Amino acid sequence: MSAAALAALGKWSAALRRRPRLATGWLVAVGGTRFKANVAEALASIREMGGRSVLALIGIAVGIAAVIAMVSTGEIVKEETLRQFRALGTDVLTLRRRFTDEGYTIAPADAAMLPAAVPSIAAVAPWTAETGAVRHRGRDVAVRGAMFGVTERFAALHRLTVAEGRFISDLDRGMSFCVIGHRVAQNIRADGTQQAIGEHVRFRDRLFTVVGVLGPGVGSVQSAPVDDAVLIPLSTARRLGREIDMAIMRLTAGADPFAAVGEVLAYFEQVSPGLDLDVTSARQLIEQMRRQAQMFTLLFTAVGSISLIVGGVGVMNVMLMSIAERRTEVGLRRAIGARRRDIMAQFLTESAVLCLFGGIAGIVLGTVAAWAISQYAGWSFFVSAIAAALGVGVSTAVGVFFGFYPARHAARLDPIVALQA
Amino acid sequence: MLRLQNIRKSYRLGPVTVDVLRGLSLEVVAGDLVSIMGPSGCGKSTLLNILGLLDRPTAGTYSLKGREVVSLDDDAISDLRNAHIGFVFQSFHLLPRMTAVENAGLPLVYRGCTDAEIRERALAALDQVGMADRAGHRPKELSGGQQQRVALARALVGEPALILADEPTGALDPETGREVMDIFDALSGNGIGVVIVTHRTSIAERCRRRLRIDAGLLHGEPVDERQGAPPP
Repeated sequence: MSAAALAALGKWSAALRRRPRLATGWLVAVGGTRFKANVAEALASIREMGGRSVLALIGIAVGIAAVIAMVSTGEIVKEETLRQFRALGTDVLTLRRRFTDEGYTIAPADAAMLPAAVPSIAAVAPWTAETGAVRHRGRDVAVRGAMFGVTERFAALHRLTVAEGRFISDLDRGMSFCVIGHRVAQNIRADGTQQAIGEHVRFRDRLFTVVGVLGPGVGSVQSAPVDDAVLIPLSTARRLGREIDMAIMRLTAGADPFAAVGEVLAYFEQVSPGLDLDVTSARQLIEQMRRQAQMFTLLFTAVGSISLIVGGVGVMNVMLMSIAERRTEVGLRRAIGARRRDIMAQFLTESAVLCLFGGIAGIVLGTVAAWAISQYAGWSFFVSAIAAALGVGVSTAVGVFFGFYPARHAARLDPIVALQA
Repeated sequence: MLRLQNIRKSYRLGPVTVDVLRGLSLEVVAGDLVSIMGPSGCGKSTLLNILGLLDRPTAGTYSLKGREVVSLDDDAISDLRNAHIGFVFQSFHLLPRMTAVENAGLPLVYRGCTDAEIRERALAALDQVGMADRAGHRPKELSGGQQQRVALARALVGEPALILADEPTGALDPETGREVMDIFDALSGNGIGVVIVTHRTSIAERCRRRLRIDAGLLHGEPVDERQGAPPP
């Protein structure tokens, strides 16, 4: 939600607080004079309800927020999956050392020999990663800082681009050089440093000289955000005590990824028995991501439906109170010729408009939640138009559904009794 | 214009059946100004509710503008109320959120008129009751007499055949009450049938026909005092 949108929302609500006689022509066009009158009545009556309606709307807002967050997250994951496919390709295997067995490590030579030993593997890039603060002149320059120890091939296999300088070379063996992620470079420049290349960044207690800056990255490499990372030669990382704990492999054209997983495992069993490895294909990786998203979906569906029910009952209660306070009004309207369905329409409109306000609050809230989740999961965020449309639709539907009983109650009041109240 | 014949109305109160109206007949013609008096609980309000199509008689016939109404469904009855009947209440029943002109125009909303038309006709109605200069005021900014005038404007905005008033001066001081009665007088002069339920003799005396409910039946002056002739 951009600042401009928030400003527009503020202006709108201020306009509502004044007498809403502005630009209602379209309402007449949509539903005739009566519909326009109903909407104007609804706004006036909701203003009169004040705090009471706000309380009822909290439930609706939370419910809609959950729906929005759910759909947005789903959309974002779908987009992210496609992006990962495009970025990494489907012909990639990843390998991860299980952390249970500290004693066994992947020997660099074994990793290097993999393409020669397993025909379905075309290229391999072993690497290691460690999270921690990345600092420049005492300032933190990465939100979720990490250090990757990588080889020259890493860039090609992860399809990373170099914006400035160069990537890590196999000739940098043991050197304290580094290539920094896009965001790290931005943060370094934020204090006025013109040129990131040549600067020194600190990870843990070591200083590294920047030799290159990556272009805006693919987002994350096995859930570590490459934009926030410092990439150093794998050999340097090993000298600092890190072991190879991951590798990315590209399959030869036409190779079956599932068969290749077995072959890679068999190779390491042979060269390094006892080593516990986890090998997954890109498809499996994406499947994992989908499952993660499904978990969010399930959670939000539960929270959303409970909140919408609670909120809806709250709205029903508010509407019943509002109708009880306006019995004579109902009686009068009936006396001057309103049909039952006119009364019904009036209160259904009121309830729907009430819920729509909750829905709008929910859309804002849900969008913020989706943004937070994307930040947490390292997905790139966008506002889903489908989600916003759904929020408007669902909140209106909740209003109509839970407004039905109170509206029918009002429509069935005996005008004589109502006028005596 | 309006003919009630043999109207009966009874309520069940537990095991007892109370007969409020017992075969009452009444004719009202265009331009009539009728008062109905009687002690409380005699059935004045019940009669007014039946006349106003808010209640149905237990037995008897009611024809309004030549149409038999007792057997009509709720929608048709609502439409008839909207088209032919204006109500004036003791406590005005103006909607507090709305201005005088919005209150006066309310019946036309249910007729599907356009905004401009509603406003124009409501202003004309307010003008008729001498309230055109208060069109933008809300009820709480108006005196009791002024509020009742707005209510009168609302009753006549739809050009009804019949205006029914239930103690229209009950909440007003005598002077203001007289002014309101002047308006009723003028309306009946314009050909609208006016029926006023009251317990004030001073009000009844201003009406051309004075009726009294007693034991569920109407008694009063002979029909030939009326100005117009009954419909065929």
